[in-house]
Amino acid sequence: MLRVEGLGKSYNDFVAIGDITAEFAAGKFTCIVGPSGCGKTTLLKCLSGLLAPSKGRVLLNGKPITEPPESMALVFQDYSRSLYPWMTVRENVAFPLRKKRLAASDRDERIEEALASVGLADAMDKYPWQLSGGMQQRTAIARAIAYKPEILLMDEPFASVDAQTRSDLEDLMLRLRARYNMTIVFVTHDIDESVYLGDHIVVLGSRPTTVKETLNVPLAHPRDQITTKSEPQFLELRSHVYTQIMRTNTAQTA
Amino acid sequence: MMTSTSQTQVRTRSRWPAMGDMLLPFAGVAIFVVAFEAVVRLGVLPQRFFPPPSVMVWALSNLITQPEFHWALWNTLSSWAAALLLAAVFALPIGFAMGASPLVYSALRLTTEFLRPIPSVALIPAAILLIGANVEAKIYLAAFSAFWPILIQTVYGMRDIDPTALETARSFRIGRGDIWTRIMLPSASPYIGTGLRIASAVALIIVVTMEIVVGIPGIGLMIINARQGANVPNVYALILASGLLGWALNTMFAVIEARLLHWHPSYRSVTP
Repeated sequence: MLRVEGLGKSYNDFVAIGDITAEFAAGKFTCIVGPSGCGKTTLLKCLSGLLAPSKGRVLLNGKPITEPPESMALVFQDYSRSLYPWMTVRENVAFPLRKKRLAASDRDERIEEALASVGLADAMDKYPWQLSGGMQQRTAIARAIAYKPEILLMDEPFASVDAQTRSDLEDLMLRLRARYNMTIVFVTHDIDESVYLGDHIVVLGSRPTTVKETLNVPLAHPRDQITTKSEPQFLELRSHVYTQIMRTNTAQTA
Repeated sequence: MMTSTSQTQVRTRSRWPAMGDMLLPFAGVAIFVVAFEAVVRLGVLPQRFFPPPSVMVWALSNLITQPEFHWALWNTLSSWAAALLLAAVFALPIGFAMGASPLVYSALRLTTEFLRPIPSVALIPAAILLIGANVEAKIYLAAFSAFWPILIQTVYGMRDIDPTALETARSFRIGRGDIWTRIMLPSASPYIGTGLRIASAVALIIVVTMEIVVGIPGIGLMIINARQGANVPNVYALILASGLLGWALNTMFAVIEARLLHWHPSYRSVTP
């Protein structure tokens, strides 16, 4: 289980995160949603051990995180910078497995399975830059899945793809979630996305960031872009989260 | 999606301009050569000092069968190679260190900024005093000049490594060795490639300069000897040869770069 306690992050006088306490239940899909510039990415970097918090701590199964843990994988927003252009799709997915000391057959199996699960079995020997944006982000997701993390952290992963691709990738995440028993922490600024994907939603306020509210999303699985998004419960939750975020914005401007 | 748009762009260009693109440089050369030939033949330029291109090429074709020319070419080329190698052996590690460590960078920055602008030819007397009028002087001075472009480009390359690329590697707990060889080195390689190509040209210039000015065996000395023997066609044939040599070395580097850096945006082909 992943937990943050009284986490704060400041750069000199600039307070990026005020005080965040939250818990990310094992095997659940938790979305972190908040207004832009509220320090979502900073929070995720602290969660992943890439960034040391200024105060408070991040606990993984009760132990403080000081460096990226082995049981964690990260998917960045900017796939074009996170994938290595000198490596093929297969090499990109294989790269993090180098330290795992797997048998060659085991490793190849993992790579092929991960790529097949994101629908890229035919693109293995291409280079990322030969693929569309959506396919590149699929490659990054496959790289994270092949790593077999217990916890998957995603930083606004679909923010730079078009709307159609975005829905496809959202549905892909729901399928992957059902298939692999991972804890997923998904940062987004898109309210619909957070309600559609999450089991839980952590709503953040604007700077200095604190948790406004933590919600459960009782929508049934499997979810569907059309039927789920037209359910009264979906619309209700969506308006609720929207109001929360708007309120923090108006409070700030007032 | 990006691929398909660039494909359409290629497709909309009709066939003959593509052929024209290929032939145009040759047409340019042909026009220049013919005009040069005409100007000399018509007596606009004195033929005694300006042999027409046909005579230059004829002289060169005679030269390339002579062992003396082979020996000179070998001297120039081996000095060039030794200088470039020596420069790279020093410039690359220092460049990596300066690019990776702000501490090393600030420690060496002032020294490099002072030494770099010194014109290498201004150091010829010092090189002769220190080393003597020999092959070593030629190699060391050329290495000194070739050192800078490699150093500067390596530092730039190291500083231009995408932080996201490094963070990704860190998040997957990639070891330091792999981060260096698999992420930082490939990432900086386009800059290093450019540095080596510029250094190659600089090294050749200094090598030939030293041969001419100091009289060290090589193409440069052969030019001086031809001039003293009043063999004007040979002087120009040798100048032409040194030009072709520089062009060939540059092309060689460009081809190697295009092969190794096929993934880089400036070398990517439209169709995979």
